[in-house]
Amino acid sequence: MANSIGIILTKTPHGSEDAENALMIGKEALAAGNNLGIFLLGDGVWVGKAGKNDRIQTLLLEIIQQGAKVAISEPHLKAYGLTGDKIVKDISIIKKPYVQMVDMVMEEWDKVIIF
Amino acid sequence: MAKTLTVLLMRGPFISEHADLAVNFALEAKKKGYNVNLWLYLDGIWVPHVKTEKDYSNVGEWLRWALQKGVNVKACKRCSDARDVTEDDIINGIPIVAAYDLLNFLKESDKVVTFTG
Repeated sequence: MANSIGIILTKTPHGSEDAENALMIGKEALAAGNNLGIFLLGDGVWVGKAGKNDRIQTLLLEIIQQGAKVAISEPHLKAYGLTGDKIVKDISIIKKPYVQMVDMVMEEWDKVIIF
Repeated sequence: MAKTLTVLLMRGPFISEHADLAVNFALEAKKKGYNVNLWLYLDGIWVPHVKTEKDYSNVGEWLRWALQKGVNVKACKRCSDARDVTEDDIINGIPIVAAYDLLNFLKESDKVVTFTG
Protein backbone atom coordinates (compact mmCIF):
# COMPACT_ATOMS: atom_id res chain seq x y z
CA MET A 1 0.00 0.00 0.00
CA ALA A 2 1.32 3.48 -0.87
CA ASN A 3 2.68 5.64 1.89
CA SER A 4 1.67 9.23 2.25
CA ILE A 5 4.79 11.42 2.44
CA GLY A 6 4.75 14.99 3.70
CA ILE A 7 7.41 17.63 3.06
CA ILE A 8 7.36 20.91 4.93
CA LEU A 9 9.55 23.39 3.04
CA THR A 10 10.69 26.52 4.86
CA LYS A 11 13.61 27.64 2.69
CA THR A 12 13.85 30.02 -0.25
CA PRO A 13 14.41 28.67 -3.77
CA HIS A 14 18.05 29.68 -4.03
CA GLY A 15 19.30 30.55 -0.54
CA SER A 16 20.49 26.97 -0.15
CA GLU A 17 20.06 23.62 -1.85
CA ASP A 18 17.21 22.68 0.49
CA ALA A 19 14.35 23.67 -1.80
CA GLU A 20 15.74 21.72 -4.74
CA ASN A 21 16.55 18.71 -2.53
CA ALA A 22 13.05 18.76 -1.06
CA LEU A 23 11.38 18.80 -4.47
CA MET A 24 13.72 16.13 -5.85
CA ILE A 25 12.88 13.88 -2.91
CA GLY A 26 9.21 14.59 -3.52
CA LYS A 27 9.56 13.67 -7.16
CA GLU A 28 11.25 10.38 -6.24
CA ALA A 29 8.54 9.66 -3.67
CA LEU A 30 5.87 10.06 -6.33
CA ALA A 31 7.83 7.92 -8.80
CA ALA A 32 7.95 5.18 -6.17
CA GLY A 33 4.18 5.19 -5.98
CA ASN A 34 3.66 7.24 -2.82
CA ASN A 35 1.21 10.05 -2.26
CA LEU A 36 2.92 13.38 -1.71
CA GLY A 37 1.94 16.50 0.19
CA ILE A 38 4.07 19.65 0.33
CA PHE A 39 3.52 22.55 2.69
CA LEU A 40 5.24 25.83 1.87
CA LEU A 41 5.83 27.74 5.06
CA GLY A 42 8.00 30.66 6.15
CA ASP A 43 10.56 31.51 3.47
CA GLY A 44 9.34 28.44 1.60
CA VAL A 45 6.40 30.43 0.21
CA TRP A 46 8.83 31.96 -2.31
CA VAL A 47 9.09 28.50 -3.89
CA GLY A 48 5.42 28.87 -4.77
CA LYS A 49 5.79 32.21 -6.52
CA ALA A 50 4.77 31.89 -10.16
CA GLY A 51 6.53 33.13 -13.26
CA LYS A 52 10.08 32.06 -12.41
CA ASN A 53 12.19 30.50 -15.12
CA ASP A 54 14.34 28.10 -13.09
CA ARG A 55 14.79 24.46 -12.16
CA ILE A 56 12.90 24.84 -8.88
CA GLN A 57 9.77 26.08 -10.63
CA THR A 58 10.07 23.36 -13.26
CA LEU A 59 10.29 20.72 -10.55
CA LEU A 60 7.35 22.17 -8.66
CA LEU A 61 5.13 22.25 -11.73
CA GLU A 62 6.15 18.67 -12.60
CA ILE A 63 5.27 17.25 -9.22
CA ILE A 64 1.96 19.12 -9.12
CA GLN A 65 1.14 17.61 -12.49
CA GLN A 66 2.11 14.19 -11.14
CA GLY A 67 -0.41 14.49 -8.32
CA ALA A 68 1.33 16.18 -5.40
CA LYS A 69 -0.95 18.23 -3.14
CA VAL A 70 0.77 21.54 -2.45
CA ALA A 71 -0.37 24.00 0.20
CA ILE A 72 1.01 27.41 1.13
CA SER A 73 0.74 29.53 4.28
CA GLU A 74 -1.38 32.63 3.77
CA PRO A 75 0.05 34.58 6.74
CA HIS A 76 3.54 34.13 5.29
CA LEU A 77 2.37 35.13 1.81
CA LYS A 78 0.92 38.32 3.27
CA ALA A 79 4.06 39.00 5.31
CA TYR A 80 6.04 38.95 2.05
CA GLY A 81 3.55 41.01 0.10
CA LEU A 82 2.52 38.08 -2.08
CA THR A 83 -1.06 37.55 -3.14
CA GLY A 84 -2.89 34.52 -4.43
CA ASP A 85 -2.68 35.66 -8.05
CA LYS A 86 1.14 35.66 -7.84
CA ILE A 87 1.56 32.01 -6.91
CA VAL A 88 1.57 28.85 -8.97
CA LYS A 89 -1.88 27.62 -9.92
CA ASP A 90 -3.27 24.58 -8.06
CA ILE A 91 -1.55 25.47 -4.79
CA SER A 92 -4.01 25.64 -1.89
CA ILE A 93 -3.76 28.75 0.25
CA ILE A 94 -4.08 27.95 3.96
CA LYS A 95 -5.41 30.63 6.31
CA LYS A 96 -4.37 28.82 9.52
CA PRO A 97 -1.06 27.13 8.72
CA TYR A 98 -0.36 25.61 12.14
CA VAL A 99 -3.81 24.07 12.37
CA GLN A 100 -3.42 22.55 8.91
CA MET A 101 0.13 21.37 9.62
CA VAL A 102 -0.95 19.51 12.73
CA ASP A 103 -3.74 17.77 10.80
CA MET A 104 -1.39 16.83 7.97
CA VAL A 105 1.42 15.60 10.22
CA MET A 106 -0.68 13.73 12.74
CA GLU A 107 -3.49 12.36 10.58
CA GLU A 108 -2.75 12.58 6.88
CA TRP A 109 0.93 11.81 6.35
CA ASP A 110 2.66 8.55 7.26
CA LYS A 111 6.11 10.15 7.18
CA VAL A 112 7.19 13.78 7.25
CA ILE A 113 10.43 15.63 6.67
CA ILE A 114 11.13 19.31 7.21
CA PHE A 115 13.51 21.32 5.07
CA MET B 1 -5.91 7.34 23.56
CA ALA B 2 -4.44 10.54 22.14
CA LYS B 3 -1.55 10.26 19.72
CA THR B 4 1.87 11.55 20.71
CA LEU B 5 3.98 14.02 18.77
CA THR B 6 7.64 14.78 19.43
CA VAL B 7 9.16 17.96 18.05
CA LEU B 8 12.95 18.22 17.91
CA LEU B 9 14.31 21.74 17.76
CA MET B 10 17.97 22.16 16.88
CA ARG B 11 18.05 25.84 16.01
CA GLY B 12 18.33 28.84 18.30
CA PRO B 13 16.06 31.87 18.60
CA PHE B 14 16.04 34.74 16.10
CA ILE B 15 18.58 33.28 13.64
CA SER B 16 15.79 31.74 11.60
CA GLU B 17 12.08 31.15 11.89
CA HIS B 18 12.51 27.51 12.90
CA ALA B 19 12.32 28.08 16.66
CA ASP B 20 9.10 30.06 16.21
CA LEU B 21 7.66 27.42 13.87
CA ALA B 22 8.58 24.53 16.17
CA VAL B 23 7.14 26.04 19.35
CA ASN B 24 3.95 27.29 17.69
CA PHE B 25 3.48 23.94 15.97
CA ALA B 26 3.89 22.14 19.31
CA LEU B 27 1.42 24.54 20.92
CA GLU B 28 -1.17 24.02 18.18
CA ALA B 29 -0.85 20.24 18.44
CA LYS B 30 -1.37 20.45 22.20
CA LYS B 31 -4.47 22.63 21.70
CA LYS B 32 -5.85 19.92 19.42
CA GLY B 33 -5.50 17.35 22.19
CA TYR B 34 -2.35 15.47 21.25
CA ASN B 35 0.36 14.58 23.75
CA VAL B 36 3.29 16.76 22.76
CA ASN B 37 6.97 16.55 23.61
CA LEU B 38 9.48 19.25 22.68
CA TRP B 39 13.14 18.25 22.76
CA LEU B 40 15.63 21.13 22.73
CA TYR B 41 18.84 19.95 21.08
CA LEU B 42 22.07 21.61 19.94
CA ASP B 43 21.40 25.34 19.58
CA GLY B 44 17.75 24.75 20.44
CA ILE B 45 18.73 24.94 24.09
CA TRP B 46 19.17 28.70 23.66
CA VAL B 47 15.43 29.11 23.08
CA PRO B 48 14.47 28.94 26.79
CA HIS B 49 17.28 31.40 27.49
CA VAL B 50 14.86 34.00 26.09
CA LYS B 51 13.08 34.44 29.39
CA THR B 52 12.53 38.12 30.12
CA GLU B 53 9.54 40.19 29.00
CA LYS B 54 9.99 42.07 25.76
CA ASP B 55 7.85 44.58 23.95
CA TYR B 56 7.52 42.30 20.94
CA SER B 57 6.23 38.76 20.50
CA ASN B 58 9.05 36.32 20.91
CA VAL B 59 9.72 32.60 21.08
CA GLY B 60 10.45 32.71 24.83
CA GLU B 61 6.94 33.99 25.44
CA TRP B 62 5.44 31.26 23.25
CA LEU B 63 7.56 28.63 24.98
CA ARG B 64 6.32 29.73 28.42
CA TRP B 65 2.78 29.50 27.05
CA ALA B 66 3.46 26.02 25.66
CA LEU B 67 4.71 24.87 29.08
CA GLN B 68 1.59 26.28 30.71
CA LYS B 69 -0.56 24.38 28.24
CA GLY B 70 1.18 21.11 29.05
CA VAL B 71 3.76 20.63 26.32
CA ASN B 72 6.44 18.38 27.82
CA VAL B 73 9.70 20.25 27.24
CA LYS B 74 13.17 18.91 27.95
CA ALA B 75 16.66 20.13 27.07
CA CYS B 76 19.72 18.05 26.24
CA LYS B 77 22.41 18.01 28.95
CA ARG B 78 25.39 17.49 26.65
CA CYS B 79 24.26 20.42 24.52
CA SER B 80 23.65 22.58 27.60
CA ASP B 81 27.00 21.69 29.18
CA ALA B 82 28.80 22.46 25.93
CA ARG B 83 27.21 25.91 25.89
CA ASP B 84 27.57 26.52 29.68
CA VAL B 85 23.80 26.78 30.05
CA THR B 86 22.26 25.62 33.34
CA GLU B 87 18.67 25.31 34.61
CA ASP B 88 19.15 28.64 36.40
CA ASP B 89 19.75 30.31 33.02
CA ILE B 90 16.55 29.13 31.37
CA ILE B 91 12.78 29.30 31.75
CA ASN B 92 11.53 27.42 34.83
CA GLY B 93 10.01 24.01 34.26
CA ILE B 94 12.40 22.72 31.63
CA PRO B 95 14.60 19.94 32.97
CA ILE B 96 18.05 19.49 31.44
CA VAL B 97 18.37 15.75 30.97
CA ALA B 98 20.54 13.11 29.37
CA ALA B 99 20.54 12.90 25.58
CA TYR B 100 19.31 9.34 25.95
CA ASP B 101 15.97 10.67 27.27
CA LEU B 102 15.28 11.57 23.66
CA LEU B 103 15.03 7.85 22.96
CA ASN B 104 12.08 7.60 25.33
CA PHE B 105 10.37 10.46 23.51
CA LEU B 106 10.97 8.75 20.20
CA LYS B 107 9.75 5.34 21.42
CA GLU B 108 6.47 6.73 22.69
CA SER B 109 5.74 8.94 19.66
CA ASP B 110 3.40 8.35 16.77
CA LYS B 111 5.05 11.14 14.81
CA VAL B 112 8.39 12.96 15.10
CA VAL B 113 9.27 16.19 13.31
CA THR B 114 12.66 17.86 13.32
CA PHE B 115 13.31 21.57 12.91
CA THR B 116 16.97 21.92 12.05
CA GLY B 117 16.90 25.52 10.86
